[in-house]
Amino acid sequence: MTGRAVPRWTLLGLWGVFLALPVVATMLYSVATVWRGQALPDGFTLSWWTQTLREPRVVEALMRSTWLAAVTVLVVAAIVLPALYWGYIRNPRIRVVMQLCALLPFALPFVVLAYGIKRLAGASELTQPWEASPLLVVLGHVALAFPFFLWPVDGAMAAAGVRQLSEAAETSGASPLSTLFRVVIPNIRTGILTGAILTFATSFGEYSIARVITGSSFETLPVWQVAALQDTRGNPNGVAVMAMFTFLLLFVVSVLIARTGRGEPLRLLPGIDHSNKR
Amino acid sequence: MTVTTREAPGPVACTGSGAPPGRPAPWRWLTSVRTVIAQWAPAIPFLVTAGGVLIAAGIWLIRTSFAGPDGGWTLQPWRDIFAQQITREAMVRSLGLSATVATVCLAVGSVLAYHVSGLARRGRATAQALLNVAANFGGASLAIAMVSTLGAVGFVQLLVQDWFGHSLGFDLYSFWGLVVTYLYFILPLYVLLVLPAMSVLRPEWWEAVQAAGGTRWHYWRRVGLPVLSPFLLSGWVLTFAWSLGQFSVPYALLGETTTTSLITTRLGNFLFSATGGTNRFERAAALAVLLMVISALALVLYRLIATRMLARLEGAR
Amino acid sequence: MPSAVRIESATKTYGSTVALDDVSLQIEPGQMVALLGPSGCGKTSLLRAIAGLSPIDRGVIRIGDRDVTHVQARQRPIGMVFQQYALFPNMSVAENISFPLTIRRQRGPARAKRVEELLELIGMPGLADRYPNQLSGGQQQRVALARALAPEPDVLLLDEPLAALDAAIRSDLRDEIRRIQHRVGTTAVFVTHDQSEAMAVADRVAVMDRGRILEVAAPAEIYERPASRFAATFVGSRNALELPVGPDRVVRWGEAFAVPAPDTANGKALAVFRPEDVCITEQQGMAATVDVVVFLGAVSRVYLTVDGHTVHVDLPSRTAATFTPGQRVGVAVAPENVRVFAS
Repeated sequence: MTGRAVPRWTLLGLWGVFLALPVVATMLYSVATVWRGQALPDGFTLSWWTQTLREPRVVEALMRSTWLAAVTVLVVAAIVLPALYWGYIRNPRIRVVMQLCALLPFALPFVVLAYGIKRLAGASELTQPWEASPLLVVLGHVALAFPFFLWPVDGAMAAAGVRQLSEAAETSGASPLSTLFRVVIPNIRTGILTGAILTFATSFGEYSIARVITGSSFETLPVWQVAALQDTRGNPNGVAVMAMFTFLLLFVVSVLIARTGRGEPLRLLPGIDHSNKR
Repeated sequence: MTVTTREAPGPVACTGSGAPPGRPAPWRWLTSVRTVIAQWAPAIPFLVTAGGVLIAAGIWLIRTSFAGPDGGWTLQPWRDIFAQQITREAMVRSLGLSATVATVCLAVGSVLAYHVSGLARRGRATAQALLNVAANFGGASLAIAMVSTLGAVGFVQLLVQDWFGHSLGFDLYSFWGLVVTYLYFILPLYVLLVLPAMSVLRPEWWEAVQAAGGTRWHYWRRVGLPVLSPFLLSGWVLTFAWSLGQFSVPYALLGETTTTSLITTRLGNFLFSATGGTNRFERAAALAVLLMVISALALVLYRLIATRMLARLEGAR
Repeated sequence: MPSAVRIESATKTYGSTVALDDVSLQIEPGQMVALLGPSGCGKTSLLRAIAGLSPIDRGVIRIGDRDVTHVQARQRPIGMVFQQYALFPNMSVAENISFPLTIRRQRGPARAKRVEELLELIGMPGLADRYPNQLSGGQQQRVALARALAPEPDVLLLDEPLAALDAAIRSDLRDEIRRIQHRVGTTAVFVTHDQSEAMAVADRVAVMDRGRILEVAAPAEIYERPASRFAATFVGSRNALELPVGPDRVVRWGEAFAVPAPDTANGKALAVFRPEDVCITEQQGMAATVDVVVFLGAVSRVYLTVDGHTVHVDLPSRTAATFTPGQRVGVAVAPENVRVFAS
């Protein structure tokens, strides 16, 4: 079908250019000495990179974002894995409930949820001390990022035939916990990895929740970025460096996904996809 | 020896009593409570966190949106948000923006998804990975990237100026600037959403159309698009909801200005700026509830389309 | 010595479906009992009840002298083999087999020795380090068998273990399962819907239908003298004819046979006889026309039209070859080879 291949590659190529341009632009800005009116910068330098990555405020923001994302991944894994596993071997209704909950973040824009959590925490005296705490941000991230963990792991469990494996383990004398760790998790490693990576990426790049709940007291990387972007006195190049940094991080991450996923489609539409992939 | 109850793998999802026979009646109640706990126990952390937080926050917001200064119930916040002209304009602009973005996605993204689905397996995997990056490249970083590209001294602006003489005449901070920005990361999301749907199209159908003397136009008009339309429509609905809820990108780009504002940035405005007025938190809550309602409607619509379409597909086998 | 497995009045319902209806069964130590029946007859439910994977609503299950009705599967002295093998893909053959021992915290040389013994038993001594995806279906099922036998269970449970295999290896593996079970001496319960499989493998066959056990007997017994109409029609190939009951309580089929009717038969009765029990003669017997002779190897099946019915007869091929379509012959069945049931 070479007649069809030409328009296909043209279209996809154009789209590729559209997607690449901002990345290229950011890259150029991050290494430009001075850029006046012309197509390309006057000169190139790595000084912005070295400067920005050494700036204490930036480094702290980076640390905070990483910590936040890592904790989010751990919490999400800890609450989703047992629940999903139980849903496979004992109570199928759990899975239905989980899939429904996974649609909620689409109904609740992040900023809405962030505000809701903050108000909720501020409402009772018991929880008030945590009203602006990073832990609340973790909670918000967990509540919103878990679908990105749930979907790959659910797919992996289904593909591995978790139910049958569990029965074999059970009749061999293993307890559910033992089965979960010895039999189930080793066989859904890919799904867990993909899920962890996606959750990490979601939490890392998230702005609204951190900003709304903690204000500027817990400055994560995205919060820093927005503040720096809107700071009229600030240096655009430093901002470009961190944007490029984030992009590179995500890029590496998705290469990892592509390699671990081995070409299996990412299940994004839980209600629709499985009917087709026979 | 512990008594446990477990789900039998029967075709009917039943609870299975599991109660040892011969237990006196008053204790049976206790046993069923134990049964319920046993069946849901490992899921409780999840339900409390993910489910509980989301639902509790939603309920609280609804309550706050009706909250009066003395803790009572009032419609004042709602009246306020519809009374204020800027806010009303923001609502219209939000809906318009989201609808535009979703429609462009539908028109352009569907074609792109079709082409991506035609790639060989490795190409598909690469494409999906790349699209994943793009879809996650939102928020602050995207705003920065867009400013670098199409801002006043953005790369593309400078390039066009340099090569062609006159300026592009494109304002990143206008309505269409926002559309282009949104499209950057929402188009990949749309493509990823409808990509699985493309495999519903069987090659035999195209062959059957050819054998009957039809052209590609006939195929798409009578077979391809009708079959795909439910998937594409639900993609539209989800994209609409996703666009509507965007906060970081417009906020990073437009800041706290009141000119090209959206529902979400108005919300941010009420939250962050101290000059918003006495009941700004309640008004923020009202806007939040409005967003929730629209998004929830979109989701319900999406579920309806998804289930009906699944039923149709099963019947077509 | 108590029976190895004893089931008393087991009942299980799913919503409105009755999976097990007051089922009772006793299995002696060292015996292999086959649960045979069509889909939905309750054989798998019964097996899973013994395993502890699906609890029963009423009744008692004993393994040895221990009441295990409310004991969890993992605490029952059982080993189970599944239709889809259910080997753990993340473990090697040796690790799969030693899994039950690992759970019981058995370590060191004793465990390694046991694994070696089992590999020897299933005839796969050099394959300890292979992974399931490197094995054929038959090999995987044998590893599953070894895994089930590793902890020296009191009962071995097999849930249609041959159903997922290619026909070619099915009979070989079937005989090997039998051989291994005999050698180890473990009591075993084997579920299958294939009646030839059940009869080849078991000491006793329990024929089940709609949640009930209809009869339990040695394979030959069930084959020759089925006690229930269901067993008569389900087990083995047969000819079944609805015939009127004469006023003298005799079921007669022309000159082919005359058999006394059972007491419960009124008006009509079902006469069942095996293809190999039909005699084809030149002159005597009931008038019949040969339709077609189907060559099946050592045996050929001759289809005849008799009195409006189609009857099939199994004969050694050399004999069957003498018949031609359209030929007129006579058929007769010895009365002791006809089983009659109420209609």
